Amino acid sequence: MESNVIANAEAAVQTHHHEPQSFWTKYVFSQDHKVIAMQYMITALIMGFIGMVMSWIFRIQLAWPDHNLPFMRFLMPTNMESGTLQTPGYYMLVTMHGTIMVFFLLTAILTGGFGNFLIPLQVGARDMAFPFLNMLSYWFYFLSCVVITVSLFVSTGAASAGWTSYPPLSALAKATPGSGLGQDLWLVAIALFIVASTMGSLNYVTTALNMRTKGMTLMRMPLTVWGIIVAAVLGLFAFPALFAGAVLLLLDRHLGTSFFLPHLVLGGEHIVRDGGSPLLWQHLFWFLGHPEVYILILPAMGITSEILSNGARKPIFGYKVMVGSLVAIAFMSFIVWGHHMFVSGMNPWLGFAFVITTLIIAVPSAIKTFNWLGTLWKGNIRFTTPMLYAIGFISTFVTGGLTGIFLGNSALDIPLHDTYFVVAHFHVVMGLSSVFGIFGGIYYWFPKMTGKMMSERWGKVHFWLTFIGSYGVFWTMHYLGFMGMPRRYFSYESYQFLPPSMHTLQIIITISALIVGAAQLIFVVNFLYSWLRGPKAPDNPWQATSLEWQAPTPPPHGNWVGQLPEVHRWPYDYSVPGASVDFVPQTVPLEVEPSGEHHRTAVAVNGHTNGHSNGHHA
Amino acid sequence: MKLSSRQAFWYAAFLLVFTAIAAYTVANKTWWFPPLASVQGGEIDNLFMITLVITGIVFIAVHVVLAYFVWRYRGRPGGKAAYVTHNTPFEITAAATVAVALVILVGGGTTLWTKIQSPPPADAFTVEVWAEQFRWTFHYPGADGRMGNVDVRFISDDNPYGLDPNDPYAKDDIFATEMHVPYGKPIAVILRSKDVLHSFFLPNFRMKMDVVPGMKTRMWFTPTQAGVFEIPCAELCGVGHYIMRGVLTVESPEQFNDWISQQTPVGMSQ
Amino acid sequence: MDTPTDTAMVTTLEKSRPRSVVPPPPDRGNSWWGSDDDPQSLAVPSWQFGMWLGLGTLTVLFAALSSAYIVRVGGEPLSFALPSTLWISTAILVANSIALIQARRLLARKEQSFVRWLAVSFVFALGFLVSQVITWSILASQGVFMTANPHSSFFYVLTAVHGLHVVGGLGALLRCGVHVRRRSRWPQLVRAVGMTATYWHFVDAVWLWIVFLFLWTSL
Ligand code: HEM
Ligand SMILES: [Cu+2]
Ligand SMILES: [Cu+2]
Repeated sequence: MESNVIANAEAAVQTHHHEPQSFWTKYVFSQDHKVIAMQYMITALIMGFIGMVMSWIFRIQLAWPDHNLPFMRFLMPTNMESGTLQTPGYYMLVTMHGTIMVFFLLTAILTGGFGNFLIPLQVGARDMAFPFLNMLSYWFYFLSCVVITVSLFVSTGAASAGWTSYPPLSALAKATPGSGLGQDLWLVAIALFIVASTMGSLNYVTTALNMRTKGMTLMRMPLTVWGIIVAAVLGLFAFPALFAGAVLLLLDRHLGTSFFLPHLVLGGEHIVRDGGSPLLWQHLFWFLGHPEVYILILPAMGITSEILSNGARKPIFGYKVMVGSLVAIAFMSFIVWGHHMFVSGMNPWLGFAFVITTLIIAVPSAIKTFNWLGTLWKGNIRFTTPMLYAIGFISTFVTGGLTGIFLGNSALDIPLHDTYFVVAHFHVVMGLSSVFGIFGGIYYWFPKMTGKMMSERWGKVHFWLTFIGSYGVFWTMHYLGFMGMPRRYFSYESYQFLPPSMHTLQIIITISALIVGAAQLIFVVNFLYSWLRGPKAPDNPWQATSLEWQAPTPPPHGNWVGQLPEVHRWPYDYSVPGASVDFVPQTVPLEVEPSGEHHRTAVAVNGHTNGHSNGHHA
Repeated sequence: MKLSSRQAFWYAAFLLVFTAIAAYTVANKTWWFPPLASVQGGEIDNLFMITLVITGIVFIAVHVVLAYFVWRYRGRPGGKAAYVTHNTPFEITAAATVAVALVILVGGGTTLWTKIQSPPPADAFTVEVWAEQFRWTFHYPGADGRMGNVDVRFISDDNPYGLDPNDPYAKDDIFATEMHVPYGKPIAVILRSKDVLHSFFLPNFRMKMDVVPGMKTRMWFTPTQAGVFEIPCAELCGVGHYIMRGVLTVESPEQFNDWISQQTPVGMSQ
Repeated sequence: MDTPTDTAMVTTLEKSRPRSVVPPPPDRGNSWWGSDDDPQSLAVPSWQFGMWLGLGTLTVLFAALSSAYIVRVGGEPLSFALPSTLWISTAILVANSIALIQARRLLARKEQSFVRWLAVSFVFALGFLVSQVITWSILASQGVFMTANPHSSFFYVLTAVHGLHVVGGLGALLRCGVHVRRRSRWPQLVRAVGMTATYWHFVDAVWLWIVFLFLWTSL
């Protein structure tokens, strides 16, 4: 213990010495986790905005085919010369939208943004374990964003083989317009992104496991930290598969190898390759792809748990089970990837096995849902904007999780695969849920990040428009899926099996999407205005227990002034019987306020107020 | 705290209204699957309905409970939350219930999957399919009743369907731009692609199978109705993906024989 | 244990550098998940843990390529003869690992001669790259190019990706050299050499795996 104190004191001194002074080292090539977090967050939000604008354009095409948007001539000179979206442009927009949203918005903001900001502050560290690597991580991410954005402007157009980039479409320039330089840049951007994500993830996991302050045992970490580091581990062990795939695909594209390409005839011309298998790419892609969807949901689950507990003024229900199910979901997520390939031509017996693993993963997911409901039960709920989002998360996660039960059962997946039902499923469960986690998280931690409060009133307007509008978009899509409407269609005019009411649904969806889009403008204004002009935030505006709220606002370089805080309890001591307030921060010693960390009921707590846990430290 | 009540009310109200609309439109089948036309599709639809009932109950229950909690436990001045950290028997019961429901669904699902994926019955009528950007071509045996061997390697300007020049059975094969099959028999389909991935989708038959270059993929089904049906492509295959539309006609054996006798065998011209 | 060289080195270091580095973490007992005294940390320093995680990532990269290879060739036997230079490469890398073990051991005992073993390792690494280039040119001279067949494609890909990691390892050795040159403090040296050695053991193990993989498919 002695050594700990010395180390802390020394670290404090060191921090003092190392505080960056120049503008460049402070705000640009910063190694401070909080600055890097903001860099990640803002870059990701900008990318997300681009992705959203893309969706408006193709949604307008689907609702009002060939509608003319004169101003688009300037934004997309190659594929909207006349202001009307052309087919290649449609496929490029859809591909870029998916890629940007999954990787460059959601993955980046959840791990790079929230992971960077929260982990050191919530475990009581002065910074990340490897600050230099952390800085590199951001700049690689930035570079990958630049590459993917530049790819929109190359003469043959951006990649257009879907965010899954299945070869041969993505392997041969002749197969589709976007399969030229655009596809190369897509692969390069993804590879750079993987490097960035790996460097970040190494940091998040190491910091959380090895740099916790005194008293911060693993079972006292907030669920946000658990969610993010488990997601980081998934990233570390899943992304390399896509990296390998990207390397092989680049070789197939340029060196004439046949990893994914068999002999084929494209537009009357023989492409002589030898026995490659397009399914190999699908395996490599989904070996990442499925864990990837959990990389997006686990941190959002953590954030939601944190906000729910705070907003309900109650401990999170079943903390240990929550941690256990996070880990179980993560583990299982490595062995379910084949559920994306039930009708791909893969051996049906493999499909059989994947059905079983896929439906097993639904059990821990269901348990988490029950625990969130359990957290609200008998609570004293405060309807702050973060809380509205957290409650919305429960709804969207359940809705989307239940549609997963259909898709995970291979026989039912046969008619539903590659229809709008799948699009609805993953947008609700992954898109909406993690976006709700993100918005909840931004409203919740904005005061700590910037030192200012966001407007609650406009936050609520933003929430309601987003919540109602998103269900308008994505719930409605399920019906299109029932009808058998295939996804990735530029238009549906020529099909008779789709009833005319399909058009009504398309219009409802597009109008809802535009409403949601407008709501995001409110968010942007609220975010920027509050940052510049918002009222000053107190240190602990939500009366929360976890460690970051004990740091000054905004936290200085090194996070804590003087010694690192010492932790005495778990982060969910809300409404502890016998305590003088309804929240007891983790830093409050057990002699001062009681804790219920290890006890189910309030009754048991009273007998044990005297430092029963961590006795060896006393 | 006034605001708290208002938010709680609207939140609960929204959840209930949303659940009601969702449940009504689904139960009412306002927007539903296209008319059913195959035996296997019927079984899939049954399993779908069972899954829908189970998940529907969970969907409604969770939303109603959520709405109730939001309203019932809204913050009140001087209100205090209970201190409850966990409840192991509850967790175990909940997990076990979910597990039982899933076992039922997996049991039904894997049984059906095995059935659908098993080899087609011996009396099945077989059609082979070539997929390419952006059309379907259907391959029938000629008068000899045997399907000739095809392969991309043999494709040339004179041999657009890649018939094996050394295969005697290939000499009189028929290629058509529309798919016709006789009613009353199971239909087996063998799928090949010349170029990129495609997917052979039969919405009315609840059937789908990707078409993969370098591979032969298969499906089979038993039509329960005569009629004309559409075959949309369900795997992104390029800019013309959305217009890659095929037509399947299920007709009486006599009509089918009429139709096939009007087709010109390609092999003859060689 | 203190040899004269060592004391001299350490004292000069102490004088030339301000104490700007956080001291090495206290001994945390031998339980991997931390000891009872310090439940907040792992039993290993961060750099070591981070290195292991990173190697875990690289393991998946090679595992992905290897399983792609196995699936892609589907039991078809290797269609070309493995050049015998492969065995030279193998021997070099095994020797390299031994040299680094030696360097690390000497450094732990604060013996200056560890530098010599780092140099030996560097030479081995260069030798490996030369031997690899020869292997490739032998294959090329037999007409076995990247596109010849799936075996050769994967052979080139796996050895090239591995080769890039060898180049990275050269960088790590150079970095140790810089530390020596700058007379860095002992804990920093331990850390730099430790990381380098761990990394190289991994690169060498991957090489053994690749050789095994191709021997296996040539059966
Ligand atoms: C109860 C748990 C879940 C089950 C059983 C499940 C099942 C499935 C299945 C079988 C598919 C493939 C459908 C098809 O392509 O035909 C699928 C697609 C997808 N799921 Fe889930 N899922 C679950 C939860 C999640 C979660 C939590 C996420 C994200 C956080 C997610 C994100 C996605 C995405 C992104 C896709 C579509 C990928 C694409 O084809 O573009 N799923 N899901
Ligand atoms: Cu999945
Ligand atoms: Cu298509």
